[in-house]
Amino acid sequence: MSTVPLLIDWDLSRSKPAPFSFEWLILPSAKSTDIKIEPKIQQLSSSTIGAVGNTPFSLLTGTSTEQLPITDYLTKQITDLYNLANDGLFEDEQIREFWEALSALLLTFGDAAIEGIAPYIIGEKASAESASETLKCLSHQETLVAYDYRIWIMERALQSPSSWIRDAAALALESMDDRTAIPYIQEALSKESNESLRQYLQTVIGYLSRKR
Amino acid sequence: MSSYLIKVTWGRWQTDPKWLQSGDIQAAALFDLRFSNNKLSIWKIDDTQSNLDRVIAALSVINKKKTIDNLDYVIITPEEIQTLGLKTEKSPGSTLDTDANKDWHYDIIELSISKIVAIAKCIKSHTIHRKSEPAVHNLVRLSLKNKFIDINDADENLKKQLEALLRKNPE
Repeated sequence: MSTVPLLIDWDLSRSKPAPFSFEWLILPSAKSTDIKIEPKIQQLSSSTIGAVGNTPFSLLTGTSTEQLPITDYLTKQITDLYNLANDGLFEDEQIREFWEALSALLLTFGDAAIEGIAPYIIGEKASAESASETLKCLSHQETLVAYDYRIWIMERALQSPSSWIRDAAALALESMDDRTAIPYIQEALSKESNESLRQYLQTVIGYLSRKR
Repeated sequence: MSSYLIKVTWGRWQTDPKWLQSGDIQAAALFDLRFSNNKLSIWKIDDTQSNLDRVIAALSVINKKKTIDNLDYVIITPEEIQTLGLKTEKSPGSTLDTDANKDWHYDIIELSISKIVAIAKCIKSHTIHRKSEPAVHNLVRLSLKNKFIDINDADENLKKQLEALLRKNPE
């Protein structure tokens, strides 16, 4: 089986300030000490690439993806994923296919997948519906892959201009059952203008506070 | 007096998109009013809401659904149904709770575009209620325990989720 050297994960500490140009996207200083993410090199076998490429949302057709640099490959996968998702995720089948494609990217590329989708979720390149579904998908993974990065993107999404995305972020953090998110939810609560979302954020804080 | 539950997605009913004119509703909300054969699925909730939790559990465990998560809904009254000129008809639901499907599932029938818009405005005027994911999980556990839901009717993905729920301690 042929393998291609593919991916050097982002080192979060080296990428500060965040590699995106969204003024409200600022990595909390706490993250620089809380998250210890070592750069690592992953190899992707041709069969693994096929597994990603064969998801229903893939638009890679008939090209030799193995020859693409991984960053281009991942970027294209994510772009294609959201181009389709932004057209609408209305039916259960569409949502299922979106989840499968996103999960495959996450499992294959780990932290880099989250880095790649961050501009869509917190940079408003995705529709609120797609962003919301992304956050839900990321919070329901039965794996620890990219765990810190997934929590990170949810915490950042709490600051989205869209109440729909902020709500989805709160739902996702509640689902993650991780009380380290409480300070971020409290901060979001202090800024939240939507009364019903304020009430829900308080509920989430209460729920996570009871977690050990 | 009984009322009716309509499942919604909270975000679709928010008015913060800058392009949305005051008082208007996002078109995305129409996807909460997906109709089939000019019918819209609703659930009858009794006057004491004694069946509310069971209906929520039923609506949360549907084959092909990716997760068992939170559920957002509004409750509309029979008076509103009447005022809007809507007709309802009992019909079998398609959840895994067969008795709930039989007893409490209704359709709003003979829907027209103007009636859909009227329903949307009615929903917009209501508070959207939420059962959080942990609360829904507890309700689903209860429905499993009481054998309202048969885990063997679930598809493979849903069955895994239900089994995981049963292994996890209630909140």
